[in-house]
Amino acid sequence: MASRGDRNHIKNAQFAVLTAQTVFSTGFLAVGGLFATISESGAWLGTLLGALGGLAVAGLCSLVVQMHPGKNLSGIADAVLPKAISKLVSLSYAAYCVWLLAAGTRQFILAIWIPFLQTASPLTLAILVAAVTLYGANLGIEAIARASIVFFPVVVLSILVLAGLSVPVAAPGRLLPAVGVGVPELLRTSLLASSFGAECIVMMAFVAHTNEPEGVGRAVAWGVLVGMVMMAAVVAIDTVVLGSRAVTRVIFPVLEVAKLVGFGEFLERSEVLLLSVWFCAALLKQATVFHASARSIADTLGLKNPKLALVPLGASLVVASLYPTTVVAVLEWVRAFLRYTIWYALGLPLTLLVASMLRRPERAHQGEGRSR
Amino acid sequence: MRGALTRALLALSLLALCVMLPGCGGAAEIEDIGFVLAMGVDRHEESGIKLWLQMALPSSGPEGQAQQESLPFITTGETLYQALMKAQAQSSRRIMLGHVRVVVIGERLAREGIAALLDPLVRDGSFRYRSWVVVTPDPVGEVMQVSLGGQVAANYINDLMEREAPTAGVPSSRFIDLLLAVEERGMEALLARLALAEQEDDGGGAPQAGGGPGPADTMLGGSGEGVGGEAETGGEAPAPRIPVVDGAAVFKGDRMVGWIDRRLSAAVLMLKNAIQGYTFTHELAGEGQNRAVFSLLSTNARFSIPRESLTDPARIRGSTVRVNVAGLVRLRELISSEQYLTLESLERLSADLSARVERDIRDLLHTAQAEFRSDVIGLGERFRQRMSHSKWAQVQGEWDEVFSTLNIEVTANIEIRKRGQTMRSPGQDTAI
Amino acid sequence: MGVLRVLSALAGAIRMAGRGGPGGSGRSPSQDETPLRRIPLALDDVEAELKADFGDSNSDVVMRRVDLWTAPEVHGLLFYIEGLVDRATINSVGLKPLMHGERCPAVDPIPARGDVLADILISHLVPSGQISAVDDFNKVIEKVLTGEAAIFIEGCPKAVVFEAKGWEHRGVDEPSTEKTLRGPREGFTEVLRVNTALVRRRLKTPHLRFDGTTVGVRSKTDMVVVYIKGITDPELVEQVKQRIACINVDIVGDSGIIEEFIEDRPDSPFPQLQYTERPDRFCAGLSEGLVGVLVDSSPFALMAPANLASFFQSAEDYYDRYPFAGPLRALRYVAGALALVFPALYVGVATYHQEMLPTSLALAIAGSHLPVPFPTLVEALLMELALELIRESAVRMPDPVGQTMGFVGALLLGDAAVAAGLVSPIMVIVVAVTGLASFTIPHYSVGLAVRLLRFGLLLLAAGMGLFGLAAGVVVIVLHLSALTSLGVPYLQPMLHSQDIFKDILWRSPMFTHRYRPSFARPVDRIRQGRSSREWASQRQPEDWGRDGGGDGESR
Repeated sequence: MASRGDRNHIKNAQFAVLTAQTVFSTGFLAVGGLFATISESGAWLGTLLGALGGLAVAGLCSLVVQMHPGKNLSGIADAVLPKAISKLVSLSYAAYCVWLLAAGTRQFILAIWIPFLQTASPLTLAILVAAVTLYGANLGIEAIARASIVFFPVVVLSILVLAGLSVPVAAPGRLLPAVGVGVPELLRTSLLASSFGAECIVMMAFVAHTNEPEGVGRAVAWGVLVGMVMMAAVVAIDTVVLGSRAVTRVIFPVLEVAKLVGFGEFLERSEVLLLSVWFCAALLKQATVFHASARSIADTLGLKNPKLALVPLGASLVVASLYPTTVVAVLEWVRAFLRYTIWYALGLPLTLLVASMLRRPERAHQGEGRSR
Repeated sequence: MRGALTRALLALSLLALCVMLPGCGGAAEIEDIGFVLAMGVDRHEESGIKLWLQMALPSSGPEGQAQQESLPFITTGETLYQALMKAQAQSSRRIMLGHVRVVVIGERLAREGIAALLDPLVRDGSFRYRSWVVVTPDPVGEVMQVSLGGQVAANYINDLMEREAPTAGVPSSRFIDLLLAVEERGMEALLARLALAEQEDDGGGAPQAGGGPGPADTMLGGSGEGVGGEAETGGEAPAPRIPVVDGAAVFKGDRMVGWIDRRLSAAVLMLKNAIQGYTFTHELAGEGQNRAVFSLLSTNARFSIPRESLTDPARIRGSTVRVNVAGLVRLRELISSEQYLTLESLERLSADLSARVERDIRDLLHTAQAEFRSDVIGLGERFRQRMSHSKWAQVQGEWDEVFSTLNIEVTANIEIRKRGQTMRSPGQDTAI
Repeated sequence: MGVLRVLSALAGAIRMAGRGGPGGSGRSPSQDETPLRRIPLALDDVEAELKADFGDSNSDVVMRRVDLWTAPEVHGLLFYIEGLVDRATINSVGLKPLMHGERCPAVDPIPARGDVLADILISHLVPSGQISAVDDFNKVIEKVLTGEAAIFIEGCPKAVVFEAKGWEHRGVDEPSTEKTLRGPREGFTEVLRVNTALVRRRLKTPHLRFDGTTVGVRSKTDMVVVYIKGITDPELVEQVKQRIACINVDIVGDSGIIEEFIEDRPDSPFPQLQYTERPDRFCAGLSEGLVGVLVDSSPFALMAPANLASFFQSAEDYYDRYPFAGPLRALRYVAGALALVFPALYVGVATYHQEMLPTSLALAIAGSHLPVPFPTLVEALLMELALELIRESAVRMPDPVGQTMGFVGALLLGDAAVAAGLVSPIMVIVVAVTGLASFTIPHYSVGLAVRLLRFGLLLLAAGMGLFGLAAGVVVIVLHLSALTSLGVPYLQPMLHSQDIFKDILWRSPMFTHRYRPSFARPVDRIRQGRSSREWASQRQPEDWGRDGGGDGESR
């Protein structure tokens, strides 16, 4: 297929959109309630501050990438770490991606299933999601990137529409006091929120696919910023419409907000439409993450054809997205995810950075050394 | 080649999925859905909850839409959900609350607490948060039976709330407002009062929406051209009573604590900056029957809360809160020898109106603080927004009591913005 | 290179077919080199060989013996295919000079020897512009089969072949599939040379190239790869030529067959090559750096690469003024989306998301669906099927009948189905709107894709409501994202935010189209100078207010 080299590569604008989509797409559903329980009216500010954590991860990644141009994550790990450790790193990365996948899918399935399709089996939903995800991952990151360019503006537009429609029912005073419960809680919120921003390390698997390697870091940073600002906006909209206490009572506050706002008499209930749009973006995000994990597993196991990893991964995704069965447990899962992944996301590029700094003088002696 | 194979497999599996699904999926044919338009809930002696459902019948063809038909269901149950289940058992259609326009709550139930109602409705994913919730002192069953000019009660009350409520100074009481007021501390719910009024027999003229409490000079009789047109249809022997929105029910937590008339309820809206064309008659000074009709287009209430009470919760009690209400009115009708064409006379009139608004608000504050001890004006929320969270947490629990000790000073500043010709039909007006 | 090889291969195949009948063509024709097949000196041998090749029974093969006027008389054989040649040309160019040669005294003294006679015929006697002496028997046959006439002369190893083409063909007509209200009315015809002339007339540049080749072992269909040197990416041209050279097929009936051979993904529902009947559109494409392919006997020219946007562009967009062309273009996209998802949306909402509808609409739908015994999905499928039947039957009918058929079918069927309570009136409206919307897509082939995919989406929506529909749309978009046309991503122009309102979703004024669209990677990107509306900015200040308009040139 790749008859004309760089056409099949990703531009940096697409890279940024992919990042923003990855950061934003699944987390925003439940995030309002999760953060409002911690810092009440300060949740939006905490989310916004969380962008800093994400930016830090993006910065570390871009430093690492700049030291190893033209290599993806596992390539970099192979180059700077001993073989066993590099395998471990790649595997842990795959595990991270799978976790991300499972949590995101489960969350979305619940969001669709509970209010809209209660009588449908979640299994079929999971299969549908897995099938589309698999299809996307199979087509490759270039196709996903192009499709994201089509859908992401729609998602941004939908958030804007949501914001615009919620003006008549909004009470901006509910965002006050901006610090919320207190500064420590605010910081805790932003630390949790930065886990979403840190999802940008997924993009490490594709850095070699860009055709403008020098701007990758900036693109990822922009993506994180846009994604986190959108997420903060969603939290703010949740709070403004529902108040910081009612937000904590519902699982997916943004859906409740969508229920409240409407285009006058005719389309009073737009939440299904909005959720379908978000569903599209979530599917693309899932495909992105899926592709990353399949690639990283294939690299670790030394599979010649990375597509071999797709099918077992898809099956496990279906199974994983059926558990846990209750919403409360899912939220607990998401909380656990938020608590730990930021450290992983910071630690991974940091390890690589340190390792490659240590390796650098050594490599100067032996020339280019091992190359993938 | 392999790509084609996977694609084919994928497409096949997807199609198989779809073909196999409709049988077991959540699909419901639209004619099997029972669209509930209105719910009425009241206390029932034996079983707890009495539920009235008004289910719309599918309209067949364009001529069917003029004459909308509905099917009533009356059930009882220990809880709302049980009553709903009973209704479901009676109905051949799948009951769906997604199209409920109005929830009518009986006064008895409202006074006992409505928290038990909220939960099942919130859990219903399809229930509209924008549905109206009204409280009625009259029998709920009678309200639900109202049918005027081919409109079922749900649509009639919906229109009433959309068009009449703003001019009648009645709060916009949507389900979400109730939910938030019950959920959040620092503001209490204020729901519209829906009463049944005798229909006047001398058709043609606008029927007086009498029966409501309140001083005569604050009541405006024009509660609806819409009603006037319907007068002929009710020509048979005992004229059915028609619903009117009039005044509001004050809640404290999830319990109703009392009624206020439209004058006071309009005062609440003034303090919440939620007024939208409240129309009132004003007796003018001077000899004879001089009167004018005004609509209050918008208000802007500014609260000044003393700084020390924001930083020290202990000093909130008994502190003085100043509130200034700036408002814009439009002159609607003027029956007077004086035509107010000079600046001085207009200023005099403004001052007169300001004094009147101040009086209304003071009356309201007195009622809310002394009688109901309920913060219907949402002052607590204003405190919360300006206080740090820990300080607010200290007063939050006893806010209603703290509220009743506040000394609230009111000044009003009403400006006559528009006078002369109007181009809109009665009732339609917004601030510009 | 490839072209030559194919040509010689084809000649070889012909020879084998002529000698050994159908059985002889079993070998791959590309493998053997054709040796020169000499023309026999004796006319009887020539005639015998021709008969061996063509058989006895061909009524359109004319072999006419003539005696040349020379003294002594020399025998000649005029050989042509009736129908491919113009009779008047044969008479005046071929027969007359041969039989009335005495009117040409200059050649009288020359001895009437067969071997030099061919040259004399060419230089003095046969008044034709395209004339040559050919010594390869196969080549003679090939030329005759494309409409030339050959004169064999007793004792001469060469044959004189002269141009006499003149077969019956359709004249240049208004294109029937791409009608416009405004713009040229000329359409391509089935004759390659007419088509090339139509193109040449519009692009009077020497850089316009028609690189000819022949495809089809038996049909030997002429085709040309058209491009403008200096604009079109040479790599692209090379790729098209290479893919065409690989085609090894018996006959080529239409450019549609070629399309299937050279597109990137034949299994995709979306077409990856543009086709057009309009020379103006074809030339516009060439000037944007596209490669065109004209195939003899097909009025449809192919253009590559294509992208999704190119199928929503109509020639008329450019001939109408831009304030109207822009909205119309946008409308077409809306219609395309509607044609794709509207029935699915309806079914999804009516069976899963009833709370989304306004109450009165929900009740109206419920009321109209009350007497219908089928589930909404079945109802929709039935109605869609009926629509497809009507459409398909109307297409096959002669024009006036077809129109009536469409009307009658749609009206009667819809009305009767509603009256019988088999279908709800709302469903009829949904299907009718969908049908109308799908007709606004200017390109039939994309319309086909939309029609096909609509059924898939319908099933998905019936299975999972709007989420099924959303998943289906994602799959379609992913597919489109992965699709390429000659290596160019199918969605590429739509991903460039700066181009999207220039000529993709909207058409901005022509004078702002300074650059050629980038997706075909033209060598020369600049399409027009900055100064197309220079005069407007040079207007004197005192002109101010004299006319109302004149802005827009500031861009």
